Amino acid sequence: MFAMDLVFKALADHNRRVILDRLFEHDGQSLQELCRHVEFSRQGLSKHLALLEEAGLVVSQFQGREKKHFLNPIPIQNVAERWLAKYSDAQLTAITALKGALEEQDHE
Amino acid sequence: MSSNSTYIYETYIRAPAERVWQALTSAEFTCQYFHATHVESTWEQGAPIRYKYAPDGDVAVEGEVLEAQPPNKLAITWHVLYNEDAARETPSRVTFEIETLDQQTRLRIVHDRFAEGSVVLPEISQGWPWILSSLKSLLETGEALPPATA
Repeated sequence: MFAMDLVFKALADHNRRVILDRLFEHDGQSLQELCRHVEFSRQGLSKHLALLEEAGLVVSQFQGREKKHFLNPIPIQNVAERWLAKYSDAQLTAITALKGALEEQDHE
Repeated sequence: MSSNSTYIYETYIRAPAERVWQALTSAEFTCQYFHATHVESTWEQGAPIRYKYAPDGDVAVEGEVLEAQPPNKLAITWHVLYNEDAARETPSRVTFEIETLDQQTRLRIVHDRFAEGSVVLPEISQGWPWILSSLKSLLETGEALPPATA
């Protein structure tokens, strides 16, 4: 699988996005610490973390005997640069304006 | 007293480890992707390291080489001088880890040992991701990212 496919796959899951949000709030958490801040099982958390690591969105480092997990935003930035550079501001603005106009009509 | 915050950023670059090392340690590269700074050091343990705005210009960041193992590991202290409050802080530590994996090079930056209440720390999450993306772009396409507006 291409690196970018892995990023989209990882981000496509609500629980995995929750894990990233928890790491954004407090970076460098162990499995035990993260477990207290999510509403799913430790097994589920381990699986999600493995997938997030594979996608490069989470990197881990041993600090003493504890494995700590860190949010790595670089793959998201690479995705943003790949796509945002492609669709220029002008096009985006036109689409956003159209969407706004259509939604306004809906409400009338 | 120091904070136990650690920031880790990682990217994969389609270039040999030696070129990544060269990009980190030579001014002709850093001036293209590292906020136009020129890096200088002898890269020996204990040697000073400086990031200057021009070859003879003001020093933006200074530090000391803690460990240098070309092309795999470089650890330096990080003393920010471009901001008066930051300049009064004790230096933090930046470690560059370069590893060859599957014909790509993994570059990991670990930034830690921040002073308590560091003013440098909140800037880190803006700074390194952009620098890493710009470095990746430079080595893979020959062009760095356009200057950051932030």
